[in-house]
Amino acid sequence: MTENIAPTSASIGAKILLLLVILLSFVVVVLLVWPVGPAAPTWMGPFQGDLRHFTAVLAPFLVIGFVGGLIGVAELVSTFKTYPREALLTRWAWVLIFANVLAAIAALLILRATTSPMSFLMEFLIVAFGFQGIIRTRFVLAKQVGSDKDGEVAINLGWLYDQFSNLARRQIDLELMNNRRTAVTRLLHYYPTLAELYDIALYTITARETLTAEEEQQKLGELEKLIDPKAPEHFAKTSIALMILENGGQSYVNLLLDQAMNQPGTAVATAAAPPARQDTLIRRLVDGYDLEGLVTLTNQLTDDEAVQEYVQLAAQPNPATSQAEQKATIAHFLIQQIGADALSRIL
Amino acid sequence: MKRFQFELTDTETKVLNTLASRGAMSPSQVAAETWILPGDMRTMLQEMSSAGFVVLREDSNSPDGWLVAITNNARGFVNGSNGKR
Repeated sequence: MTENIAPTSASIGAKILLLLVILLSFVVVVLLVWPVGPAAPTWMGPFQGDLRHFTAVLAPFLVIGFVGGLIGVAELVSTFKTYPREALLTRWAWVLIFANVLAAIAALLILRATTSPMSFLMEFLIVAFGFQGIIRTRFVLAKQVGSDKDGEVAINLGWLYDQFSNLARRQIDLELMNNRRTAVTRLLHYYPTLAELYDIALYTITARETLTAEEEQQKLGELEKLIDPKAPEHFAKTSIALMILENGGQSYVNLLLDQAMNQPGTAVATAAAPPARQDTLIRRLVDGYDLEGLVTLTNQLTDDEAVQEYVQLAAQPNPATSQAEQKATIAHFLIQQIGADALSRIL
Repeated sequence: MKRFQFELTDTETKVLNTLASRGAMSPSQVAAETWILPGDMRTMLQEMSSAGFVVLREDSNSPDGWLVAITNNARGFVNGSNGKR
């Protein structure tokens, strides 16, 4: 099992974009402040002048575009409160943010083309706040008394933006759902027992430092409802896996999966679940021995009279329990008293 | 928080402490941890489940087919936040 958690193409794209922006900014800054001495090439002076002029023209658009993008990010973060980081890494999130950047730049261009020159501060206020507000506002001119939207006369200046933003949100939600499903399926694969999942979910909730005591209790209550005996087992497991994802986030799930795949003995894996080797040993003892055989095995493995007596009594026929339960108890007991290593050497 | 109408024995308290510290496990694992015999364990867990101290449910991955976990109220009770009697 050497599967690795590969970063998404969206996160790689974002990193490349960020790197390019930083590189470009560095080049521009160096060219702008570089002193033009007598040894400099002849083209350097005019080029620097042009660059300064170009930067002065471009700067307002960059600032406005940045604010537009920031508003797009804020809109997405507030819409996808449970998975803000994951939502921002989707393809459609970038499309929506880029659309906001372009819309803000277009608004500044239109403002400059249609009005007399004004200070950049005024332009900034009009575009960054006025325009962004207008495209998200629906003006109701008249409304029938006591009626809902049907009786309204309204102008929705942001209709086009509404349609586009709804489309983007739907696509992001679908993409997130797909990612969530993948994460849940993998969690169920690597942590297949209800006990493991329950313990991880419990740890995830109690380890969160930002939760208030009330929120923690509420989440623990939700977790308890999920293991309700009436809930079907698969539903319980899937819901608990989803709860782990919602409370711990994608990175935490990736860490759990990574540890389950590569390092089964690390802190998280052992804190959350017993090693798989123990489960295998218990299965071998339960499936390979009858009750008498387990008593004989115990007597061969240890001289401790207390241990021998417990196993002897546990193996007695008892209508209140099943043979499987008796054998499993003895198997757990042997691992606890004799040790998994010693047992696996003998078996 | 719920108050329990149930007088806990020392053995039951030991079971609850084990579940509170070790997390969800199979009844057979609890029995092995606490040195309680499997027949007594099953009866005890059923009583404790009826009293709301533990959740007992089927689990196909468990060697004995069952899973037991301490309830939140009982965890508070064990930790003393529910006014231990």
